[in-house]
Amino acid sequence: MKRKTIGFAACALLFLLAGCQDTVNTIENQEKHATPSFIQDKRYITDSFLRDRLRLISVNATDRTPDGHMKVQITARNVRVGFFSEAWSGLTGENPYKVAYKFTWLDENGMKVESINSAWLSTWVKPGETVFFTSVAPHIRCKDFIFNVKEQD
Amino acid sequence: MKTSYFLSAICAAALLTGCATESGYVDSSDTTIAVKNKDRMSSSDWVVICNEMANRMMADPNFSEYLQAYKIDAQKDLESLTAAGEKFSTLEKIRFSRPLLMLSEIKNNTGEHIDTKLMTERLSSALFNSQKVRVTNIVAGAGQHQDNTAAEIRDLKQDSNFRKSSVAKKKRINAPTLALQGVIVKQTAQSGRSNELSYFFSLTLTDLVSGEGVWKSTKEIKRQHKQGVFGW
Repeated sequence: MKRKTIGFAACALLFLLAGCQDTVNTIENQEKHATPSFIQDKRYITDSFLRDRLRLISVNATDRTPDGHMKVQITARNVRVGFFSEAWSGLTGENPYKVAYKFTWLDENGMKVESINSAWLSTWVKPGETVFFTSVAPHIRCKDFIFNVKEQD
Repeated sequence: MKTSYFLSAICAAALLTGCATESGYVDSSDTTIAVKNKDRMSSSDWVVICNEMANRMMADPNFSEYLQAYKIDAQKDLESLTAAGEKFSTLEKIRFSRPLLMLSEIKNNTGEHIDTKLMTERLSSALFNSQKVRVTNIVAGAGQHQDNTAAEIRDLKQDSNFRKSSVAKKKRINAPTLALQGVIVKQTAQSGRSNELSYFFSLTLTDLVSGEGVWKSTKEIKRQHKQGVFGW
């Protein structure tokens, strides 16, 4: 009897935590008119939790900016939605989800270019929200980039 | 007896740990680990602002349009000045097509002491290293770094210790054609134990020839903190 009571209380608490999470609904135009330049990416994953929570959807890179500087936009979505994800993030206080990210730019020789554009920054992402990480190359010589992202407490 | 030894050891360890002073280098561009002031600007705030503003400057179509137009006009000016007999160094000819940027005043409407050079030096450095502009420190607005050495060095011609041909000639310094200026505004809010601090930045690049803006951007950074129940 006691075990059943505790079990019911735990389930009620989980429902409460999941139900109190404010996730994001999204509406967008179905027929797209933009012509993004998606590129293939190479991923080195060390944090599987982050990979499963913040899904990296696409990498859009173009040097069609007015001055020929390369511009990168990485689209990601916080997929911590659903009963168990929301309950867990509610318990751990990770709603919204905080991540830190950094862009590092490399020149035509593959050498790192030091600039103010390469700094660790942080952002909050609500469950279900789509987030865009963007950076513009500090110089037209910069042709490659590395994007780092990590969970932040 | 053994218990007292154990407790003494614990107390000694706690005392030593509490008295220890830790000091070490950290990444200055890492805004995630930086210590943030509750009631005023922090070093990481400048990094965040400069990162955002630099990104916007580099990809802005209005600024790019200005640079392209300036390049065309500068080439024509260089040709006509050269034809009129004016001499230019090789470096001047290479860089003539880039506007000359000066750092103008960044109005501080925050009520706190802020050294705006923490922002202007970073942004001018980003622009200079991108090879979009030249920079000058001979002319500067209030609160910006100004260096009169280039002007004063010409007085060395009067000093007999210096070879006169090695002293820089007069009428060779260029006047700026572009200026970075702006304003910072602070707002605070409080509700119960929750406190909010925000800084609004507005920056403009102004074409000094026409007086018109060629790039303009605003950004606000906001921080919140909750006071502890017991006030700390």
